[in-house]
Amino acid sequence: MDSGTTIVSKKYATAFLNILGLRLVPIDFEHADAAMRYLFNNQHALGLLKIPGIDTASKQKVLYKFAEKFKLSEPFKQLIDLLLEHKRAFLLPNVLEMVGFINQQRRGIDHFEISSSHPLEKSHIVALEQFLIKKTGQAVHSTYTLDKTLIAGIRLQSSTLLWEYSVRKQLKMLQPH
Amino acid sequence: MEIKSTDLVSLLEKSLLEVSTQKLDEIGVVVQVGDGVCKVHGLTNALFGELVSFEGGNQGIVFSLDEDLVSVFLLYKSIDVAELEVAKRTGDVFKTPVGPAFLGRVVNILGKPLDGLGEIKATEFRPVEAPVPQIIDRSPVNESLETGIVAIDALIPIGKGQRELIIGNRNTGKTAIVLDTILHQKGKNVICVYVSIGQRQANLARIVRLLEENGALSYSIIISADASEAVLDQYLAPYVGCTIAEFFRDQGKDVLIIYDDLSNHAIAFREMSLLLRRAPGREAYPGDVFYLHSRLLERAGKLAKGGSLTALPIVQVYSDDITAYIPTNLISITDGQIFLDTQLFNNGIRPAVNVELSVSRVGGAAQTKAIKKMTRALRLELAQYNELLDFAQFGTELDEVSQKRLARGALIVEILKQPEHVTYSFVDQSLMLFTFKENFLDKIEVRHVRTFVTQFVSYVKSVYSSVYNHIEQVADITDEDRAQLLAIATEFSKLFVPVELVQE
Repeated sequence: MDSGTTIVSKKYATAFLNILGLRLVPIDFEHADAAMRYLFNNQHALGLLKIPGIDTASKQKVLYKFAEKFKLSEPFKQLIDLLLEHKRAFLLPNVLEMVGFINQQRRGIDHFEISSSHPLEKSHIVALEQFLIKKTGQAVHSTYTLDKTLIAGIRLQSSTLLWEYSVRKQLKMLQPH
Repeated sequence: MEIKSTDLVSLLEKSLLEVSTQKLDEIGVVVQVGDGVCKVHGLTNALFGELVSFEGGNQGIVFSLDEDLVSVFLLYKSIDVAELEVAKRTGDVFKTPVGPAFLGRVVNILGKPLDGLGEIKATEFRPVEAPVPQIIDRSPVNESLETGIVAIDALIPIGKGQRELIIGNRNTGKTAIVLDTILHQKGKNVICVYVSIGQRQANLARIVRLLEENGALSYSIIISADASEAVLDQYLAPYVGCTIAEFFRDQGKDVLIIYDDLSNHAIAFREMSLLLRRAPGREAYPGDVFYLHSRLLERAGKLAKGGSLTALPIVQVYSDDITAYIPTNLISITDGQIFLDTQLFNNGIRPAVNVELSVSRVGGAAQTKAIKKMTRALRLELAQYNELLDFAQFGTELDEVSQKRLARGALIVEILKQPEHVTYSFVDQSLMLFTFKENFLDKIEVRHVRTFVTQFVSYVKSVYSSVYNHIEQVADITDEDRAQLLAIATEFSKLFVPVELVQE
C-alpha cells in the first residue's frame, strides 16, 4: 500500500463514518473486518475490479454478491456504489480496514496483535491485555499469533504502539551498523 | 577470535536486563520508500528533526510532518527499508560523536573513520543542531587570524571569529586559498576543520595527502560527504563539522572551519525539498534556504570566555555572476567576501583576488599593527592603478603622475602574487610591504620584484634577526624599527643583484 492509497482510503473511511456511522451496529464492523481480511488474503479477487473493460454494472453485481456473502449492511453497499462511481472499487479492502481502525479510535479501543515465540495460554493473553489497558488507558482488543522468528519472547503491536521483549530484538540491537 | 556460546548467552542476558519492561514504543508503518526518503504512516507524535529507528536497523530523520504521513530521510544507504516495516520514535535528535581523538582523522557524518586508521573513541555525543551563542556570550572580533596570503592579510584581513566568504568561478583557486590557510596554522594553536560537501573522492584524497605531507593533518579534522553519498549526508555534513568544531571552541581553543562548498549544500537541500514536494521558489530552492545557511554561519564567533570559531564558507558562481541567489544570500550573511576573478587567474595573477569586489567588514579591527601601518594607502593605490589600467589599454598618452601610479600599481600586483602552498608570517608580509611603501622597489624591474622582496625578507631574518624578532614580538613596526629597516633596505638595495645579471 503506498502513501496515496493510505490517504485516500482514510478520507473515504472518515467520510463514510461521519455520514453513515450512526446507522452501524458493532456486528457490522465485525462483518466488515471479516470481508476485509478475505480480500487482503485473496488479492486476485480484486483483479477484475481494476479491469476497465468490465462494465460498472457487472462489477456492482459481483460486489453486491460479495457483500451479501459477508453480511455487509446497507450503508456498506452505499460505500461500494460510491467507490464504483469514482472508479476506485479496488480500494475497498483498504477503506474497510480504515473504517475498522477509525471506528476503534473513536470508541477508544486499541487493537493489538499479540505474538509470541511459544504458545500462550488464555490466562497469559488476558494478563497481557490487562497490561496494555493499564499502559494505554484504553479498551484493548487483541488477536494472537505464534511467531517463531521471535526466537524467545513476546511482541505486542498496535498501529501506533509497540512493546517487544524478545531475543530477536536484542540480537538486532547488538548488530553493528 | 572464537566466540564461546557462554559469552553470547551472558551478552544476551545483559542486554535483556537493560531493556525497559514498561515502555511502549510509538510506532508507524512504512508505506513508501525511494530516493533515500520514506513515508511513514503513524508516528502521530513525532517531532520535526527527530531521529526515527527502523526495525531492520536503519535510522532516519523526520523532515516533514503531514496530516497522515511523516517523511523520513534515511541515514544508512547500506540497510534496506521495506514497505510495511515498523518505524519507531526515539525521542532523540541526530547526534554526532565529538572528542580530541578526531584530530588528524577523516570521517563521515556519522563520525566513522574513512582513513582506515581504526575506530575513533568519542568523548561525548552532541546534537548537530545546536543553539547559536547569545549576544552576551560573544566578544568583538579583535584578534587576527593569519592566512599567510599577502593579498588577504594585507587588504582583506580575517579576524578570529569572523565569517569570510570565498567566492568565485570553478578553477579560480578557492580551495587552494583555504588549504594554504590551513597549512599556515601550523604551530599557531588553531584547530582546522575541513568539511567537504559533494566533492569528488579523488579531490579529497589529494587534499588529505597534501595536509599529511605538510604536517597539517595533526591539527585538522576532515568531514566528508562526497558526491556519491546520500543527499542527507551532504545536508548534514556542515552541521556535523560545526558541532565537532564547537567542541574544541568550548574548550577555549581557536578553531577554523571551512565549508567546501555551500553551493553543493544548497543543491542537496533543494533536492531534499523537491523530494518532499515543498513548493519551489527562486531557482527551485525552497523558501527557507536562507535560514539553512544563516543558522549554520551564526554559530561562528568569538566567545567572551575564550575560544573562537572562524568560518570560511566557499561558494561557487557561474560566469562570475555574484548576483545569483545562493551567493547573494551568503554575502549578506557573512562578514565579508574574497572574490576570486577568472580573468586575473588567467592573466597569471594568483591568488586571483579581486580587491575591488572583496571586503572584510570586521577584519580591519583585528589586523596586526605592523601590517596595518604598511597597508594604509595600498587599497587606494590599487584602485587607482586598476582605473588607469583601463585608460592605458586605449593607448592614451598619460601624464607623469599617472605613469608613476601605473608603475607602482604594477609593483604591488607583483608583490601580491604568491605561489601555491607558500605562506608568509605577518613579519615577512610587513617587510615585503615596507619595501614598497618606502619606495625601494621603484628602481627595480617588475619581473625582479618578487626576488627582491623575498631576498630582503631572508636578509633581515638572517643578518638582522634582532630587528625581525622585535617586530614579531611587539607585532608592530615602531619608529626605531622603521629607522633600522630603512638603513637595512638601503644596504640591501646596493647588494641586490638580479639573477639574470649574475648569469651574464
